[in-house]
Amino acid sequence: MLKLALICTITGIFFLYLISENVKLEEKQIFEAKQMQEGKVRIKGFVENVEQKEGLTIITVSKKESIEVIVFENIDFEIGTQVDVTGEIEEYSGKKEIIAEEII
Amino acid sequence: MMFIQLLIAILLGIFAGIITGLIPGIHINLISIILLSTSPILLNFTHPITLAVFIIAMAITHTFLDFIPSIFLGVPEADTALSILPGHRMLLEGKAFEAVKLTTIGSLLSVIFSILFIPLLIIIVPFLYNAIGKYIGWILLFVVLFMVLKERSWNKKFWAGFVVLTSGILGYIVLNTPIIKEPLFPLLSGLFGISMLINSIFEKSVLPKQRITEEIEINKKDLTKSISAGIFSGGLTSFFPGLGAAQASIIGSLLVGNLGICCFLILLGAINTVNMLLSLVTLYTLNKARNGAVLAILKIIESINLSELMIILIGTIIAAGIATHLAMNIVRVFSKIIEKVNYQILCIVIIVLIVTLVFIFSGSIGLFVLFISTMLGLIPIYIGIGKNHSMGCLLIPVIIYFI
Repeated sequence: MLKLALICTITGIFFLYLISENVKLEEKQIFEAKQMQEGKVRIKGFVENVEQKEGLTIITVSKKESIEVIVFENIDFEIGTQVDVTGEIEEYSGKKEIIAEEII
Repeated sequence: MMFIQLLIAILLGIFAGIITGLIPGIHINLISIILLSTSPILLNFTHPITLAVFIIAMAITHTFLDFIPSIFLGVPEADTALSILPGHRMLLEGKAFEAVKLTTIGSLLSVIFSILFIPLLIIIVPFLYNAIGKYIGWILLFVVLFMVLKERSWNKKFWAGFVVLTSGILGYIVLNTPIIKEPLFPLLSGLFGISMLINSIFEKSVLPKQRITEEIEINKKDLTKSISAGIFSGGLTSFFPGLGAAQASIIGSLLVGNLGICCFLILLGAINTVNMLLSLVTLYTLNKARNGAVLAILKIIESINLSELMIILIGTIIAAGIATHLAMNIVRVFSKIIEKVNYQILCIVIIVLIVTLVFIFSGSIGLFVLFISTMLGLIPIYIGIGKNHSMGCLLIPVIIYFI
């Protein structure tokens, strides 16, 4: 039984890792993301504005509505580019924003 | 008028706490979110502090009652997972009533003593937060190493390390995979609940007649140690993000050493309640929310002043008093019912219930997580090491977060 438990655990974790690496979060509309209190979210939209600050970039992503996406590094984005953002929804100064984990 | 509103809020909060405490899978965060989303309407009829009192009365009652399903049925939450093994052992010895009574003693005494210490905490919390905030990841790493090295033989140390690391990897993947909803439920149910129930089925465990012990003899020195460690480690969870009752239970049990099952259950009861109660102090001193219930309070009342804190604390004391009586009466009923059922069948029914709930809350991927965590949960049982090593599933992700 111990051997069986070990084999199931190790292969199970391996497959779970593969699943977690290959699944994408379901896309939400920006207005839906803004209604969320917390948690992970994935949105798509166009870059409307890019603001560089020390150590971070604030990107305004819009599609009908707009939301600010925070990236903790200085990177360049062309205005009008389509982006696919996954990150954590947070509230800052009464406004919802996404702390980016992945931008494609 | 305000007084009556507050009283009604406390009673309704206690009622909600009975539901969340006794029914596996229904968490106080769920009710808090529902309340938060309906608060714009509710605030036309009542004051924000009334809603805050409702939430805290529910949360405190929940911490008194949530040990009952974990001890009787083996269905865990993060806050009660470590109580399953000692609690279940006592159930198999006919002492489930005693087990719940011990966690209730811990919860009630911790409410009384932590309220006495609140003036002091209001002064030292901001200082403590700045002083040890940077080192909390290292402290937890030390705790994990200590926990592993405490096992007696090298063989057991190896397996303890293996279980901590493997459950840590599993916890990290599960908590960081966004498609798994309610990830803790399948993870903890497998590691602590189903694995133990499967073992009970294989061992053909039989439930003896449950005895109702009116008086429990506990060494006063050990009781003081358990409550102090409970308040200290439960307090840590209220100050630092990412730390929960589960991590505090490990820290607390290492602080007091081996005090036996009774004091361990008192310690767990204390941590569970203190964790909730002192998060109010963090809300007042740092204006930060450390759990879902307090986050809902913060969103409703935005910031908290001293008189509001006092009202909430009075609500807490009333809820704690009533919840103590409720816990004792409910456990009496549970003790009478459980001895009439066939334990093997009960274990199978609970496993089916958990599997169904996991499927409802977390979907098919949740079932996969439940399967893996059950297999992993069986390893400490077969090797004969502490089940607390499986808490690596919550400790390792928090250590990675801090370091």
